[in-house]
Amino acid sequence: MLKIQKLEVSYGGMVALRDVSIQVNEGELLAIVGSNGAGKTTLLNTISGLVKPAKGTIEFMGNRIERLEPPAIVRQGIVQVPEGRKLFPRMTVLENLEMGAYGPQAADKLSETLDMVFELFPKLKERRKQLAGTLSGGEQQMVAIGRALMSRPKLLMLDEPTLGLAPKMKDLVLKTVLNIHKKGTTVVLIEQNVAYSLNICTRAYVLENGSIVLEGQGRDLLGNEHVKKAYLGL
Amino acid sequence: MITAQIFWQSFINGILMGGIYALVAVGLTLIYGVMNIMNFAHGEFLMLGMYISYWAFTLLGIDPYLSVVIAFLILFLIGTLIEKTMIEPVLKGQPLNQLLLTIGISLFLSNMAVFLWSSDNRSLQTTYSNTSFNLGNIVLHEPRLVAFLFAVVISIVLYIFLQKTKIGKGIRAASQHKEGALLVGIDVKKSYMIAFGIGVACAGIAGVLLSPFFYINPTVGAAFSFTAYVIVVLGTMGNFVGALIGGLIIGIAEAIGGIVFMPSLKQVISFGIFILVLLFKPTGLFGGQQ
Amino acid sequence: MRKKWILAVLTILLVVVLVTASGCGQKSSESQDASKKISQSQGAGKDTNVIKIGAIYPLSGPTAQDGENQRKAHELAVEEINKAGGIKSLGGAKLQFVYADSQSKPEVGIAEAERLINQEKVVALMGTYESHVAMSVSEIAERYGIPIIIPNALADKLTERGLKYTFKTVIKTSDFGRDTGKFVREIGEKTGKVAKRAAILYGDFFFGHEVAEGWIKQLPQMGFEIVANVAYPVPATNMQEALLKVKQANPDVLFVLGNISEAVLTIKQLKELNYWPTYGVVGVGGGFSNPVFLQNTGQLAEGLFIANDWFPEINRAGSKEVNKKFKDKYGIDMTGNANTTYAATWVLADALERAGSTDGNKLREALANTDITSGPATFMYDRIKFDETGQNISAQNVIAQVQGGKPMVVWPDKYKIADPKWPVPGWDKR
Repeated sequence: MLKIQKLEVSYGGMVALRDVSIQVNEGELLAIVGSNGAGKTTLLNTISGLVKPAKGTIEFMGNRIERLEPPAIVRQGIVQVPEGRKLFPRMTVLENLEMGAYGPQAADKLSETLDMVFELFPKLKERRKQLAGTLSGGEQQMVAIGRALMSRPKLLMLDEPTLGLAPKMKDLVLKTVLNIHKKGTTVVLIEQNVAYSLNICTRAYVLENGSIVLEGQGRDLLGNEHVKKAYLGL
Repeated sequence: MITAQIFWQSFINGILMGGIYALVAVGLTLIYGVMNIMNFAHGEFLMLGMYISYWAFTLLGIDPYLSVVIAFLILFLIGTLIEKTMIEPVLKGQPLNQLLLTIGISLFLSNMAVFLWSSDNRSLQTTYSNTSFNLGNIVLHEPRLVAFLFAVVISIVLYIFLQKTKIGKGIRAASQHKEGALLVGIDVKKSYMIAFGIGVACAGIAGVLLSPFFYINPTVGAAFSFTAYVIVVLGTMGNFVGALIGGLIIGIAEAIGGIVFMPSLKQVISFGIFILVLLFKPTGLFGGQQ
Repeated sequence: MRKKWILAVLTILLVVVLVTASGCGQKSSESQDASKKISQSQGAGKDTNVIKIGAIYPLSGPTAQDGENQRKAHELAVEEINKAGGIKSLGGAKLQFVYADSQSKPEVGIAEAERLINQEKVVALMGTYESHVAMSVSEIAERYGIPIIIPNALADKLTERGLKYTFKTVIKTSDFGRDTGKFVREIGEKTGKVAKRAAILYGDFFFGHEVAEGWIKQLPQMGFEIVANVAYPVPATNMQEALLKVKQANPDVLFVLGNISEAVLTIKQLKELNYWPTYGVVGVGGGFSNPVFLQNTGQLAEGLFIANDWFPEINRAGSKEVNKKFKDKYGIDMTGNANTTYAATWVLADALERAGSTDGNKLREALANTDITSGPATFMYDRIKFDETGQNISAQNVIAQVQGGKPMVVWPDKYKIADPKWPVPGWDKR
């Protein structure tokens, strides 16, 4: 579905990603594991078009997308739930969700999709007239995920969706992600809880200093010595 | 010492002038709020609006109030073109570059006006330029009243546009979180173009509304832009409603302050308000809501 | 890549601005050069006997147009003087003006004055339109012992410093106060409609305060009570506050000073507020006498009095003819001090003739003894005679009233071309 080859990204002379090749298959729940600053967020932002690669190609369902602008990439069906949520704080919950369906195809199915999101997060329905900036962290994360779903994505990418949330909220968010995956959306997940994400994923990549060092089935990686030492604290 | 009649006359004058100020400031605050740049050429777009009205009336006999539409379209077009070709390339650059650019545009526009239309003052003489009626013992000058009503209606229309339409919501989203807007598929560059076009068109419309009773020359914008900057800061930079209320406050403060003290001090009065706001509430009157 | 773009755009913008700006400026300097060549070739063609006069004006910047008008006035006079045989006592020597640009800056004026004296060997200076430049340039003239004639800068101070080589033909700033007050008092006595309560209204800038000082000093001496003393900001977006303050004081007459923009707003907004002082309004300053003012105010200006030292519609010998010559040559009326500049060029010719020498001392002596009562030099004022400070004693303003869309001189009687209408009725009675 998504095929990245020999991707290289640099910021002002500093290389952030080097020779990264990744494949995401339809229906997968792919985990990307790595320490802070390894380049995980850069990878998602490059896929989304916020960052332009110096070298390499990104192909989505047969189309080259690495030179497209972010709005065009959203229209192709790739959506990101960004780290820090990046909501519109002085717009209501409902308006934030509507913005998620900004593209023309999504706009046609707006009310249908909205019902679906409200079903997924009943709390958002209650708070739909509240300004997004006044919500709790967990609720904001729900809006961020809901907003991404509004575009009817084929590929949903989540960047640290549980960061800073209370344990109960973390569970809820991750459960929802699993739920979305189960209903047929391909998911790429970056999650600080490495053990958990390796447990639930179909496949995973390990990213270190901007390069892929390991890849494999989640369960295989759980048994890998390096992973155990570096990420699971065993 | 000041009679009630003079006081209320000044008060009404202040409100009517405040409406025009507000319309100029609304455009400026919209551009600032969305793109995070201060448009130092704002007054010159007001000047262009005045000339559009003048020439439409003089050459084609078009009533200034119809020119509102013409000026909106022309200035929206000029604004989007300038945004696309000049402002967009410097948006990611240093704030100093943006400042130099908009000041450069302002110099260019006023010099262009001198070059094309000379520096002579001009006035529009419509049949209603000087008509007024009495309300009790207060004189209401009709073109000012009409200008005020236009300014209020246009501000409301613009508010509804931003609140209710898809493009308007997209502009607001882009102003609140640029990356967030990009990630949901909003064409932020287009939103900037539209916001800049609308912002300068507001200044242009204010110029058209002033044209039946004001003088027109290439440097007339400067007198209005200073007041507009004060209002934008007073009403919290980027805050639409703040600019409206700030416009009225400054209009009234100048009018009342002008008769209580000395008219030459009225800019000192608005500047005093400006400094007090900066000292005690640097984010402006509506800073809490940001 | 981005940065290059930014640079490119900024550079293009800058170039366009510069080209536009210099495009305007260039025309005037080109024509200036051209005229310099003409006057040089005239001098060199017939005779080497040429008398050089230095003239310093703002030839660039915001007042360049005004400086240019002074240059035109000098050139018209020089052409006539030379055609009439030049300075006969000096063997028919021809006058030649050498122009320098003050850029409206005193320090530039000083440098140019020294250059004209030392390098161009000019025998006298004229200028400089702006009082603050004239203040410095006249000091230089004094130091070198070269006479300077100031026909177009008004500040009182210019002739209050005890300078021996400074001669000023034009009115003083404070004369506005004296002459407008005199006129209103005289017309009041004549008609029985005596204005007592006066309001003064002026811009909050240097010249505005100078004119106001004249009113404050002189109006009470003539029996007026100043009931409102109001300054407005410059540039003004609104004159309403100022006019309401005037209205509150309920004066018989309003004396108002204004640049063009404020003059236009004053008249328009008097109408907007439906307010008119009991007897009338007297406008002072370049704003009101600028022909553009009447184009902008139209009918509204009807009945307004305007004080200036000259108007095209005046009953004074030679006045119409001189204006016609100027208008034929340059296409504009001889306003904005071009008139006094023209007249003063003849005053210099007269002094040179009597001095029979280009020596600074002898020329100064001749100027001090000037007493002209006829000819082109007096088309502005009856008589040219300097007091011991160097100020022309006969310099005075005339008052015109806008009648039928034109400023018609109505005072003093000997120059009047129409009868003044006094009092001027309020808006509803017109």
